[in-house]
Amino acid sequence: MADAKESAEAAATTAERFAEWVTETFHGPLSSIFNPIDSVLTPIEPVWWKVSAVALFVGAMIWVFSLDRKYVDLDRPNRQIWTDLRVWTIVSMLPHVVVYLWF
Amino acid sequence: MNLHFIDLTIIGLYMLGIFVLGSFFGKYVKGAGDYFVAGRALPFWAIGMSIVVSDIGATDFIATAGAGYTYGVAAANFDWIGSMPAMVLAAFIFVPYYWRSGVYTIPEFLGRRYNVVVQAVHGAIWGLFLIVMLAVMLWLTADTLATTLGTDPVLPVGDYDLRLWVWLVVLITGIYTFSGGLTAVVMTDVVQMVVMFVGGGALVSLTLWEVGGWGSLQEQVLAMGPEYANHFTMLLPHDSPTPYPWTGIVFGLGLVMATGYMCGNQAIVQRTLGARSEWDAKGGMLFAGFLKSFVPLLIILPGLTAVVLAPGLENGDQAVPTMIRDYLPPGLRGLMFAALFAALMSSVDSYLNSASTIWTTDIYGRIARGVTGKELSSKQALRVGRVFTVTFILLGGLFAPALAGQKTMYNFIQTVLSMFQGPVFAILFLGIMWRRANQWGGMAGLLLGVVFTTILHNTNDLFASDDPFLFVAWWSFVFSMIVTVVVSLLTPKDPDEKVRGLIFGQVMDDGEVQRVLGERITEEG
Repeated sequence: MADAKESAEAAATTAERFAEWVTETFHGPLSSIFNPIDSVLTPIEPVWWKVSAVALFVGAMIWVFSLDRKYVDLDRPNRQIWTDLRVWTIVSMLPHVVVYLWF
Repeated sequence: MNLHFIDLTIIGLYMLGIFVLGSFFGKYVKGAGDYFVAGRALPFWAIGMSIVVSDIGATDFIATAGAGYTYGVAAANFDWIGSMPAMVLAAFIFVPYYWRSGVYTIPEFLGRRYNVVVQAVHGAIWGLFLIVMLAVMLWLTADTLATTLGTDPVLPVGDYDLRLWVWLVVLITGIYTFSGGLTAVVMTDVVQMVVMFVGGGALVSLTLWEVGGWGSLQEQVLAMGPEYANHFTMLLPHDSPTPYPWTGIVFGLGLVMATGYMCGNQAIVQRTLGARSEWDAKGGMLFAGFLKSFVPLLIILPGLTAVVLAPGLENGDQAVPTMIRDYLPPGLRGLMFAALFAALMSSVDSYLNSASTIWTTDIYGRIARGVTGKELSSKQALRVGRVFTVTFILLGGLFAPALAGQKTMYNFIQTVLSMFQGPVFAILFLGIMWRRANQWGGMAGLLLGVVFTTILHNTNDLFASDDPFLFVAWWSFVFSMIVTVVVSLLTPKDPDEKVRGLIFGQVMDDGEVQRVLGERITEEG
């Protein structure tokens, strides 16, 4: 048990040293890439956060409806509406849209 | 706290029922196709329910509720934006593709599409991850039960040692997975999902009733101070120090991590490969997404109600155990324990079956082919798969106590896996969608992508978030995409014979490819 604890501590120290070396070496060049991106993204208004989240759901729904009907319906057991996978997509996704608009 | 006789009866009946049901399906297993992909006979509803419970483990009940306690509803992003869009993409692109191309595992596809190095690296990391996770899941659940019961996990609880519970789970899950393969796993998952939803629903109903309903919960939490102001906000600012900034949620989670997980996680994908038709495969994934929409209600709400009912907990992970201990009466407590066991066993059986599939197909199968020059026969693969199943569940049970307190090991494995997610999804996506992606591009994208992810992971103060894994996932995906595209364009393209039947357009539209694949599936089934 004591050996396991010592091994874990040694591993943690090695990981910390590695992180220090990586930070010293790469922080500068990587910051010059990510800082400008951060300065563009940080001031974006909350309404656009919701728009982008909702766009994922709405975009997926529109995409499914744009697919070839034969491809979506392959092996479909019958023509009843409950077997239409496009309807399943809408039923599953609309509540999410409401949730993201609400919260 | 000791469990009441009625609680133990409920848990005992649940375990016995699952054992009998799971073992029943053993008589239908005649070859590798029956064992690994359920003879391609699964209906959509079973696939959907199985995906949900395979994804949600007992530890999620605790950790996700803990995140709900600490950060609020933002923790639900993982089951909403982090599931449904990815599952729609999986249902209409990846699932039909895997289903038609007749592969058993993701590494198998990567090996055929790129080369053996990519297959070996991906197979080894997933094979190792699945085995270690078995031990971790077994131990963490015993630990959770101990916390709930207020005792040390290695000490007796009443007359019952928690290690016995772990071995009981190992025995029952091991026997039915060994004998019945994927069919037993999926069919027991169906029952386990019902138990999980009923038990979790009982906890939610009682604790929500205790705080006076949803409106009252919101009022009381928001009145607790400014640190709770964002507890009912799904999307947080880009520079939020929490793990859930909106940019990370939309790009890192919604576009990369969720899609990579739903399309590239063997334990998830394997269920759809066992579908009786392509419609069932697609429908199973969509049905799972629909069911997953309810999961946050079961596992986040108890955490939120605990903010009011058990304020000031040192660690959010104590929220659910505290709620079970303090608010569930005998009987319902047994049902909740059965739900935790259901969550554990459904994840263990799925990981066990998937680990056995990967080790049989991508590791043992490759080595055997290298030595004998022949593919494993269906009977041989079945035998090897069963040997791996027994070996892994025993290893999981034996190593579970050894992992107690070894969070370093668990974190290390989680970190290694997360470093692969962005790069693997990049080469998986390009491999399926882009004919020009070649073996050199795939290898460079995977290996350099992992190096880049390691650098991002270890560079301190690069992002505002304290735990920027969502940003790391997004940027490692972008980096690997660029590397794969550039290296592929700079090196010769793979011959047509090599990629035949592996590109999305061909698999979907080429009649000749369809005929050959159909014959192959029939032979293997």
